[in-house]
Amino acid sequence: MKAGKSILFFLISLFIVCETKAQESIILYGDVRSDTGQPLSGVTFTLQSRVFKDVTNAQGRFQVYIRGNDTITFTLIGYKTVKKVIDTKVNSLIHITMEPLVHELKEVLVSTGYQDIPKERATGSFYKLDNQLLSQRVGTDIISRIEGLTSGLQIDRRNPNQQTIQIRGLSTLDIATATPLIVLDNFPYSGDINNINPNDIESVTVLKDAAASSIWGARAGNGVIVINTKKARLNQPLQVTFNSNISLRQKPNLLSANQLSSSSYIDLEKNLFAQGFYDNLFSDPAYPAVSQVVDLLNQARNGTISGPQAEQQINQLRSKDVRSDMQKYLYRNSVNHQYHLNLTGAGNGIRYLFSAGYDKNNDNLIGNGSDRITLRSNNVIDLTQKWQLSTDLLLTKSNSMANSPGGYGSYTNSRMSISPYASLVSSDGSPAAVDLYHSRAFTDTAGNGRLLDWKYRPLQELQNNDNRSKMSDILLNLGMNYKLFKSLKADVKYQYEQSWSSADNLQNLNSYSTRDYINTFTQLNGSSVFYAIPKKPILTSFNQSSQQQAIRGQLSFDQAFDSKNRITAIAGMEIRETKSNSTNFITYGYDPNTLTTIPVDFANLYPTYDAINGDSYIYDNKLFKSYLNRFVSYFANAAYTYSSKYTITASARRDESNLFGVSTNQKGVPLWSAGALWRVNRESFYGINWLPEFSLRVTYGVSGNISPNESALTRIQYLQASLNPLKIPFAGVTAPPNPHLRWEQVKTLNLGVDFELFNNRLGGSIEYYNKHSDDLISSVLLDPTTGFASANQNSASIFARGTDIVLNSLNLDGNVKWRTTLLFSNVNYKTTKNLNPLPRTGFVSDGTSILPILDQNPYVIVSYRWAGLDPKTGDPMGYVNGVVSKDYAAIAQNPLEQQVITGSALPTIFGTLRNTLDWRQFSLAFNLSYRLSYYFRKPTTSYESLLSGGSGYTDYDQRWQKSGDEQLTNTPSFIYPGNGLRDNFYHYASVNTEKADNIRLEEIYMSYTIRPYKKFIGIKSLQVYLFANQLNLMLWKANKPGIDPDILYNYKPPVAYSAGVKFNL
Amino acid sequence: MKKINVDLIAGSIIKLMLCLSIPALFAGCKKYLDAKPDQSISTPSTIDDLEGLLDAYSTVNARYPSAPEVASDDYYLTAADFNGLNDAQRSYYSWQKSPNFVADYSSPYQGVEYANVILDALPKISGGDESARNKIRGNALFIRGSYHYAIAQVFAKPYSSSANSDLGIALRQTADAGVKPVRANLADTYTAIISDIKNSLPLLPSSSTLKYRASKPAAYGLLARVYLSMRDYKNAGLFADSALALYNTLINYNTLSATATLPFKQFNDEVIYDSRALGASALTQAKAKIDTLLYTSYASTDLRRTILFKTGTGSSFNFKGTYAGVTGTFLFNGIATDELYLIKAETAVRNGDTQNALIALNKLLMNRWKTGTFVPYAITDQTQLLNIVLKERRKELPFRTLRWSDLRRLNQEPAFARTLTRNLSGTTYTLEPNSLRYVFQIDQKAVDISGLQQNP
Repeated sequence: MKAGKSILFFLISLFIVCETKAQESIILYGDVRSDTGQPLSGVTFTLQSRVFKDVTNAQGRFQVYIRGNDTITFTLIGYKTVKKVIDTKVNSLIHITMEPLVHELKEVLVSTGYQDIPKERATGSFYKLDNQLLSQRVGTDIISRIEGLTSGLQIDRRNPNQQTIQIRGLSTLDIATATPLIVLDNFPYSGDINNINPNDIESVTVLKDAAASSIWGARAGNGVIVINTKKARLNQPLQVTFNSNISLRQKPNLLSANQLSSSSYIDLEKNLFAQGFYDNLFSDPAYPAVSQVVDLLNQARNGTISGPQAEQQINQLRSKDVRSDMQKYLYRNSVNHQYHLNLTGAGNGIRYLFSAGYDKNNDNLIGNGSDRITLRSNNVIDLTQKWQLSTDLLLTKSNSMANSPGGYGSYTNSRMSISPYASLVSSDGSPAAVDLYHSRAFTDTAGNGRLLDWKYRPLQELQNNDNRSKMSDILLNLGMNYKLFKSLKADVKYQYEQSWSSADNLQNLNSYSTRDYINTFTQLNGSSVFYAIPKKPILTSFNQSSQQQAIRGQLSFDQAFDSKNRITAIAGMEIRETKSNSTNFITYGYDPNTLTTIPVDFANLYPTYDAINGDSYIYDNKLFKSYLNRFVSYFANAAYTYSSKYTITASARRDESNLFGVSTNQKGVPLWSAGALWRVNRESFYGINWLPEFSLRVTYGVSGNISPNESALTRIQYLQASLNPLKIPFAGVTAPPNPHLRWEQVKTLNLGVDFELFNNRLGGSIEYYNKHSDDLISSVLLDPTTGFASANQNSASIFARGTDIVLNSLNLDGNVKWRTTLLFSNVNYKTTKNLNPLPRTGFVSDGTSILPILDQNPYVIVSYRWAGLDPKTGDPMGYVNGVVSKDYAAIAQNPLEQQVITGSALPTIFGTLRNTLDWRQFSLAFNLSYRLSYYFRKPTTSYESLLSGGSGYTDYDQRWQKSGDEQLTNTPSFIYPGNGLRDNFYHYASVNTEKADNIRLEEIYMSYTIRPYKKFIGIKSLQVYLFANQLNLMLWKANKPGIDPDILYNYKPPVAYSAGVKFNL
Repeated sequence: MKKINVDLIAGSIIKLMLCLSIPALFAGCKKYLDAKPDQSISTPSTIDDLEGLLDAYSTVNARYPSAPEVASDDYYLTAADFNGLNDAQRSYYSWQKSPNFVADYSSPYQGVEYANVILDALPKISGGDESARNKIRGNALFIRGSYHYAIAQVFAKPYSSSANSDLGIALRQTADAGVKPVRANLADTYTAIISDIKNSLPLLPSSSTLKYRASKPAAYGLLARVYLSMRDYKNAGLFADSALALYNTLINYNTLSATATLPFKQFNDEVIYDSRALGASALTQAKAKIDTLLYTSYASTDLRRTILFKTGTGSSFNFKGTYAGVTGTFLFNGIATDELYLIKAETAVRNGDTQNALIALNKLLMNRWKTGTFVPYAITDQTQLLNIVLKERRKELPFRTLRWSDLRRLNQEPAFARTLTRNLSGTTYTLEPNSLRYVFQIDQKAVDISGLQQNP
């Protein structure tokens, strides 16, 4: 490298010698520094007059031969490009200062899905994540890439089946609607968000207040997330980017799951057996499964084996732990691969982008995994100067496999769970049968060999399962815009989306459910065997197709009338329709080799084997569904800016839909917003030098929420014949009439300050907001005498207020650049109105579901006051009217005022601290997340549910057993028969709540970038990166027992490590 | 030149779309937005919709309370099985104050709601021939009367001379959940029940091919049952007669298999109206053991001994002879001819007509005993015969939820009043005649939300 430079310099010198007479020529010396005075090395500079390129040295110095007047362009990644005109008569030594790009953030365009607004003229609350930040994470879905990087956004993952995204707290009480609207490339996205390849995403903008989101009207009440895909750019030569990574995740450690030990469970079973608890199982005509220990105890009682023999075998089981077997045979280290190729460029009048992605994920559970192919093409064609056409086509195809019989926690039914001492493998290594459905005594002998094997072996299931699903999705966007006048543009956008998915679960004759089903319907009469269900595999299929079409006509006006007045406005109309159809069916007697089927008779009753189910109908799972949603919306939005100092904005929208029986369409008031922005530092009187940027924003507006499940009329629903004992289709009443149904309304006030100080080393914003969410649809308890337990009515209000602070700082700007982003959000909300409030007596809660009790957070944790354990009996004690009591029925009626109100079960203060360090080609980023001011309830064993096959936790081992234990433990003594009220009191006792506050290190990202001086085999830049996610490294937690509030019941999720490479051609 | 043309065309297209199509769409919007969002969901707006609601067997026919059977004396539980039950079932069985939230209260009211949805919707729906409309209305009235009656057997005092001042049940006459429930007095409760059933009579068909739908014999039979519980033996007898005049088939038990797991089919020949009580864990076949005295009261040639019962663990016997025709804990509590013969026999003897009482009783028993073994009763002493009829009534109708109403009714006659006892590992529970515990607690939510008065 050094030699090369010397040669070059030598050649240049020669050149000078030769040419020096011809023109005014000089050798120009100079240096390049950052705005903070640090010398900048590696700055590329080029001349306008000839092809020339060089970089500054380590001291930021350079020298170049100049002939005549010329312009030098200095470029450096992360800095604003500087152009300097050189007059050879004047300049011989120049000093160049380059400003870091981070200060350009305020000039970012934010997208509402209808228009792009320069942030400097935006009054609303937007938070934008650019591609650079998004690509510092690895993962196949976009939502996991924005979590923790977005101000005011948190994801409630407590229920793995229903993860909800909250933007600025809760704005609705219906969990099904409590999710932000997701807009992908201008239109609400109705498909599966996991279809979107995050590598195709250019930016994500979160619209937090009414001014930002009210353009989305009746669907914006929970905030809006606008996702824009990468687009072809103007004047760009062909650029090829390739990105690939591999992620590894170790097997989870199942022993970290909170579970009652095998030995304790065995003691419990022995105790219950002695009391006759299991006796009825042995005469139950359905032959329910009994656990191994109970079976041994029964054999000993019947004299089949001797007492000591049974005892010895039972003691052998004490050391077994089914979790070890599960970990060994059901789990593996997972490996995920991701590949993505992106080509983009521009030609004469045409811009194009093409991308292809392939993702392959193997789950931790053996047998489960998925892959996905995404193909994208984006073209913009300038048909004429005024007429532009754009097309965007996205194809997604994914396959997934779910052959695992289930992981930890899956082996349970309404009566029992897998025994903690069960084995999945027998001594000879073959799959072992577990006790879950029918008793060993029954399955050993039933049919005397004339039935199919009737035992359930999880590992045999794993070998035989064939459960696949496929999904294809086409998303087509067509756009056309035409400049009617210089400042008026007409736009038509059309979107078509079609997706198909199908799932086939083929259960062959080795799979339990097939064997079980065939056996159940087998009739043995003398020597003849009659199969009501053919002895063939059973195929269960699900097909779904959905289609979305939307068209939008929009006029956009943008004109600066003179140097001071500027008006921007849009108005338009949109029609959108989503349709979906699905079909379920089950095929008996299916032969996958010949594709033949044997019909069965669904219409008549058949006797079941040994009448274990009496006479039954063969289960018919045909299900047809068809949904259609239509929306018609009108919208308008205008902004007026005066002298770049003042901006006022207003927007309005009206929505109509076909949601059944909703007369709201006629009554509906338009949803609207208004806002103002004052850029104080632009005022002539402004003289605060240390605060060069200072602006104030205020907005107010109303947006809505819409629940597709509500109706003004009595609703009935047609249901399948299979659900009717009569085996004919029937109608069920699903909801009582609700003549007063209307939209939910969310009124938001947002106050914001934007600033930059300390020579622009520190910038950010502080926002305060309050939200009144009114007319919220809430489940109202009804007197059961009415025939309904509850009904949904517009009956409640929530008031929320909070603060979002964003701080960006450049802490070090030398060789090492250290940037910090601090996100801080604080949100408090409570139910302020509830027309039909929950009873305030006996109210206790875990904060896991929405319970709108007046003046409390809907996720509040409320407990019974705890008075310790009775030293004589180990019974838990509470209070009734201030007196220590064990009258659990009376305690259960305590008024709210006497309960312990702990606080919210979701963080009310949360955010992240992200640090990025750059040194030469190295970059390091790590995310600390903090979640404060919230609480959780510890898992406790309910003895009643333990008796009925529910879970037991380790607290069982600490239970009170003798006087004096009450000093050491809070777990009550075990009693039999169980007492549901006593269990309930203990579960909801204040002693089981803890502070959940914690700070943890979530992820680390590291990269090394090489930008060869000259293209190396065509590579412009090459980056290798490492990423560690789900580190869950708890730096601090508030609760004393040291419990991770995120992992209360389940095992600790393993850390994911990724490595990847990215290069540009 | 060409470029200008393209611009013109493009401009025109967009102008057309924006200017012309929007007003056109405005007009079309209403229709566009009238489409149903979910094909399977609708509001009750056609005769077929109402038929569909009547076909909702699980709600219309199978939401009758099972608590009265759990509390009755036809069976017993071992202490071990008792201890394994949940609080509610244990409290029913041991005659303790029942807990506050019980399906036995809310479920039958769901049946009432279906009836009310139909009755409210029918006048607003046009179409359907007159007889179809009548049948729907008749069925809905029958269902409402039937459920109100079943609720009154559990949550109100037995009918007596003090009915005008006794607390009845909340009578629901509308589907509108906004109308606040109020508890009527007991006399009004029974008046409303009887009037619903009587109003259904002219609308219902004389015979029902669909036994899950109401018919004239079903309505007569139900009236006989209602009047019997009111101890109005004259009317009970008249309506039992009316029902039997329309349908009186009895199954000869000699034609049945004693070894069959389920000896009776659903909708068997004796069934006039098919309905079921809720499942109850205390009543599973393995747990509920038939009262020893009751079992031994069946003669050895009485086929019911083997058809209704099977041998259980130890020396116990379990019930298997449900007319519901399915396994599980679903108790048949519909109207069947055997019950009507017994109502006829009882009311006849009480009304002094021993002749007809004997005819009815003997006809039934002739079909129950092994052919050639039954010696017809010929007792003419009224008291003796009444004793026999009541004994036979208990032997014929176990596990039909009828025993509870009989206990409540007969406790008012000192000669038949009984104190019930249960022994559970040393603890003895007793239920005195006319005890407050013959009336269950209503759902506490009804007290909290609507201010209904709780039973003492």
